[in-house]
Amino acid sequence: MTPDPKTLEMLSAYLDEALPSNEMSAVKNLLAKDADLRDALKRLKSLRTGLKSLPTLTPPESFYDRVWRDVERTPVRRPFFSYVPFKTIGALAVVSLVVVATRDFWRPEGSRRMSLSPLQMFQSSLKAGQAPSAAYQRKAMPMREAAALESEVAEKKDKAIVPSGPRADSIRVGSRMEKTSALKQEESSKRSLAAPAGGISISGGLPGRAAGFSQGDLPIFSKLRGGTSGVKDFQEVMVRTEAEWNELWSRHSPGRPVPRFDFSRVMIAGVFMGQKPAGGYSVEIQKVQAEGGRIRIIYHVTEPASGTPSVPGVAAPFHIVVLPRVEGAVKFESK
Amino acid sequence: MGNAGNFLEGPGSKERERFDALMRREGSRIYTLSVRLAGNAADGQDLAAETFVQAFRAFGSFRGESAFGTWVYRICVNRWKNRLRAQKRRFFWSHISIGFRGEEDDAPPLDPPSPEPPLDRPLEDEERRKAVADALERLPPEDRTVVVLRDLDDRPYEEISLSLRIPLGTVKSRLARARAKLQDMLKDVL
Repeated sequence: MTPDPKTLEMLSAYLDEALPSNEMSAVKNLLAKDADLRDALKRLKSLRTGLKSLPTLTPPESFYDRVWRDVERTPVRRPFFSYVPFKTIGALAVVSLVVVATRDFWRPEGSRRMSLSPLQMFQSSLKAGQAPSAAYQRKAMPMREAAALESEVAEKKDKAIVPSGPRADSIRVGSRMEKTSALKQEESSKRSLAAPAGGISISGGLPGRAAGFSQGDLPIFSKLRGGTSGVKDFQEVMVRTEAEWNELWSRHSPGRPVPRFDFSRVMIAGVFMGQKPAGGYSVEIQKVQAEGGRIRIIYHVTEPASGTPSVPGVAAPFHIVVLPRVEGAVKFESK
Repeated sequence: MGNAGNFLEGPGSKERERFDALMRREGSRIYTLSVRLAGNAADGQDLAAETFVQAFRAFGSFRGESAFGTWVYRICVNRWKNRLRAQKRRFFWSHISIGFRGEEDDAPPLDPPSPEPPLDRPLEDEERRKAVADALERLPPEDRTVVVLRDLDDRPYEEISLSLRIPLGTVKSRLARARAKLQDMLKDVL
């Protein structure tokens, strides 16, 4: 009967006297009692005798000649690239390719993005005679978001003096909803970008080059709307330089960090209602259109209906929007 | 001395002569070890020759801290270990490459077991030795290596563990497993 592998391992080590002394004596006791075990040990010994009986081999004389011939031979120097593990590198490359190709699949829905660099996307859109693609614009999101969030924080701090009442919801800058609606508007406006070239050009990205821009709505990249601006008088402004923006922001939100924008790519339009004696006022830029080399900014002002009880407090409603930089005369229209 | 004499002349001839003498002294031992490890004469001869060539190229750095035989023995086992590793790598790649062909397709058919002798005649020693050598050859290389080092060369477990860079427990279990396989193959012979 053949012993189980564990017993065989123990017997094998016993045969080689490779067990600790206590285990050696334990096996010895077992052997004294178990005839099958003794038989297995006998077979092991017989095997070892058989192996030991294998003869020592004598190499032929030609063997030594061969050794000396091999010694004389200049060792073949392997080319440097033979040390490169091509198969391993190839396998890793395939795995990397699969990971890169499917990374959008594994990423959460909200954080998916194009793999082309902004420059590549911009260049490809120029080649195609189109305005920068939506994906290119999405690339610029972090900067805009940073600016919007910064402003949002400032707004929330001012919230205490925003009048409450039936219009309060539209005046308040609700962070999540505001952001979501801004993104939705941005998405819808991006769709118009792919139309054929028109009279007004959009500049930026590559100096000295311009892409044709469609007649129609301009996309609103980001917006900031609220009820407590530091601008005390009614104003319609279009900002195209950093200096102008710094000046406007210092009046609108003095002492707060200025959100940064790349004015080679964007411009900023704003409507400030000025100081109002009560709540219930609001302003909203509804549409920005490019038409025949001009830019129309259409906004809507809401005032408390006559006869409604006035909301106590002081307000200065405003709406600021970030747009793609477009050259042309600007006209504000209230509707 | 055959043609070896030609190689022992010229610059560095003293060193060559000394090496040649040492090589011939250890020749049988290393040759036998190589053939047993490799499992066949052709591969074994290659391994032994590579061992001596490597030993000669490093002979200048041999300080004589151990016996020449021990030093060359280590070179031989190391070279064999590297071969096993390379074989494993090749085996891995051959199995994940396109157009996979199983070992069964690639490998030459195993030698059929020796025909059993007539019952009225006991196995001659020579036949028995041949059966044992055949069985040893049919063992997987890793199992064969521990059997050769332990049962043929009487190397202690600790030295086998160090030479092959495997844990002591693995030496024990691998040796027991290899012996069990050999017993199974030789049950009618021994």
